[in-house]
Amino acid sequence: MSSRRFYTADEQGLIKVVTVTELPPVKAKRYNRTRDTPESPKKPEATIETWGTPDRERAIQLMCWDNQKKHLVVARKNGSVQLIDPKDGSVTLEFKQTLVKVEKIETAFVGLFANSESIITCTNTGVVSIHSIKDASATPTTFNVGKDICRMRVHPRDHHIIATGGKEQELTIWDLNALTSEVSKEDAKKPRTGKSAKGKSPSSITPQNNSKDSSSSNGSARYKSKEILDKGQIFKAKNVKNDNLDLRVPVWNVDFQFLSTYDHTRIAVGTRNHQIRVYDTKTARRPAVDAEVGTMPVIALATGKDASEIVFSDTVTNVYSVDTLTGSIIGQYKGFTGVTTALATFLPFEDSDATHLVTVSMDRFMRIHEMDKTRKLLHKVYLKQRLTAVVVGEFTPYEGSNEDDEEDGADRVKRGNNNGGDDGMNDDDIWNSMGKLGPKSKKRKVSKE
Amino acid sequence: MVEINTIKNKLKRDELFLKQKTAKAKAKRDRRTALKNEEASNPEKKEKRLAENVPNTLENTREFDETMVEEDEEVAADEATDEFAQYFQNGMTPKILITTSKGPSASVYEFATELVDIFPNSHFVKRRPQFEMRHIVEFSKNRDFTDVMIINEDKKEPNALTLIHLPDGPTAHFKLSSIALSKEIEGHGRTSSHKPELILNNFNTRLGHTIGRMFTALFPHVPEFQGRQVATLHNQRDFIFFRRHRYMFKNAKRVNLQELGPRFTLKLKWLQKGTFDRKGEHEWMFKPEMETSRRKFFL
Repeated sequence: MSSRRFYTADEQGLIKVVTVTELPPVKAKRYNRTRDTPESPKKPEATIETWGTPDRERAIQLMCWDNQKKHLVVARKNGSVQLIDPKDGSVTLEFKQTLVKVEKIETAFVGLFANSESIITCTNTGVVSIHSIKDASATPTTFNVGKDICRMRVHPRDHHIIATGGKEQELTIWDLNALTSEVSKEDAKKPRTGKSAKGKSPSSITPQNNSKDSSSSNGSARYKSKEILDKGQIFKAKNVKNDNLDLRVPVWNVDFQFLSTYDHTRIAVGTRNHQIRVYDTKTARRPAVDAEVGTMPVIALATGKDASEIVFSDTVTNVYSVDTLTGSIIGQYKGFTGVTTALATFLPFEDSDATHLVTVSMDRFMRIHEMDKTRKLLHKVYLKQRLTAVVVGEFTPYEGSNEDDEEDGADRVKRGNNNGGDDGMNDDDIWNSMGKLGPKSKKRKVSKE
Repeated sequence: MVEINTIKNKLKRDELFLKQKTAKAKAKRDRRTALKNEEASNPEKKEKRLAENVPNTLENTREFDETMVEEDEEVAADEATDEFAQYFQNGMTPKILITTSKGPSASVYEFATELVDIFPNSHFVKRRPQFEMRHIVEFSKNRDFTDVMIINEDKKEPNALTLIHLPDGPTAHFKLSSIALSKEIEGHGRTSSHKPELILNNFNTRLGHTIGRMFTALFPHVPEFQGRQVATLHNQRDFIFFRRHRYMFKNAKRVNLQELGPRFTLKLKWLQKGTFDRKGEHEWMFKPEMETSRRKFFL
């Protein structure tokens, strides 16, 4: 049986490793009508392994893979960021970031990313910091991207491209290389001033395609931007036009996703004001698609199997699929009783056409749905805590396929034998059943008796 | 054996049917007398039979629910540090603010008076239309209230109750029905200002635990037993029934119950994390599509 691991994180700071086992796909067989159809084999229960001890102060706010899927990166409420070995849950690297309370609002992590060289974090106060993994003692490079940030995401391939957005913060794409070089220049000029004059050795995130990418992305915009972009900014969105009463539409970007892993031109955004927007950074600063979905704020967003579909959750426990070309709702996933806090899509096995959706929610369940037309609930695992993050882990393919073939073969032989042996019996049965059918014959039987 | 209903002659059929009926009745009678005689000599057998004879109900054939809380360290650790820990660990005395929706009618005031009577250290505050829920929550936080209770009305009758635990939530919203005020209950007793005892029944799932803890945190820790008052919150099929009684000792063995009132029924509609926010995150929300079976319950 093939199995897949999922890592979930929760409010108590625990990481749970859920191994969901899939039964081998059973071909539909024809069964003899006179015999009972065999019951479908019972779904094997998911195994759950728990790492850590419950502590609300160490609640996990964000969790993700590093880009080579060697370590889990975890950002906690108390400010600690950890690299965790996905095999046994041991912490390989930990550093602490001080999160201070600003005007009654607690600082929280809103963005997390790691590659082999560095970890990028972002807090809701807008502090993006780049920590070097190799040189853990080095002070991180930090810079500010504005207050009330709701989400920071790093492009999955170009790790120096990050996008931020939030409450009254338009979607902005930054080039980290430009930012870090700026910081280092500042450093060189006046080493003791400036909020972020710490980057001694600004680690270039991806040096090999640095210059080429930034130049192409800067030069490729076809529209003429009246607003001059700040240093390091590649793109800054513009608010949509005023509404029919000529009132300004409030901005509150909650979550977004890069739609393509190859370039960073198309970005889907979900807003607190229940809109789904798709920005095309090459063509315009205003969204290419702007659609109202539902009536309640978007909580989380995930890309579907390709760029044409995204999945989002709202505050009243709904999860919908949305077409990114039109912005219309394609379908809804059922079975949720609490708000879905994190979503992820994955291929159930390699080279599969189907995509599955894994969600964790406040009702303490992890659920797996099919993403094709039926949107069926496949698995539901109770994990005892209000969950905050989910990461799709390794896939263990179906082992010992030869054995199975043998079994199958044996089965077939058995069935053949059975059929042969039971032939006489079956005939009798048929005759008996035929005798009872006609009303006339019934009457005759009665009279005889 | 001839099947009686296939006989065409009505007289014959009646005759045979009557015969069969009397025979069946006699067999049953004989069986029961035999059992009675046997059990008269052997009372243990009767006890055993009665113990085994449990009729199927919706409750005892309830669908399997994995969130049922049994002895579980993890859940215990979760509950030890949840929003109600202040009450359970540090022994905080509850202080409740009771208010209504905007522009309440007379029946809501009557019900609010009853609620004030139920909960010790509760204060009714008249709702002014200029204050929104979020303002009330802020004011109550500043005045050291631990809970806010808001009665909503429809067609001049109370129809919903919102319970906000302060300072960090959660918020629960209940449908309110079957209200019988004290004065409508025949033979009701007069209440005293003693702190009542509290009985919570059947709050067994993880969600039920949260709701149960929420209700517990409305009553002071140590009841005043000389008052002999009991408040009961009984959950049956997700409906929470509230009753209040006084027990009256007849003698050393017999105790009578006198109902004090009021009676009302609550049904959980949603539970929200944090204090009330229309756009807040719902930890649990009832939807009609969740009613897949009559034997599925959430509390």
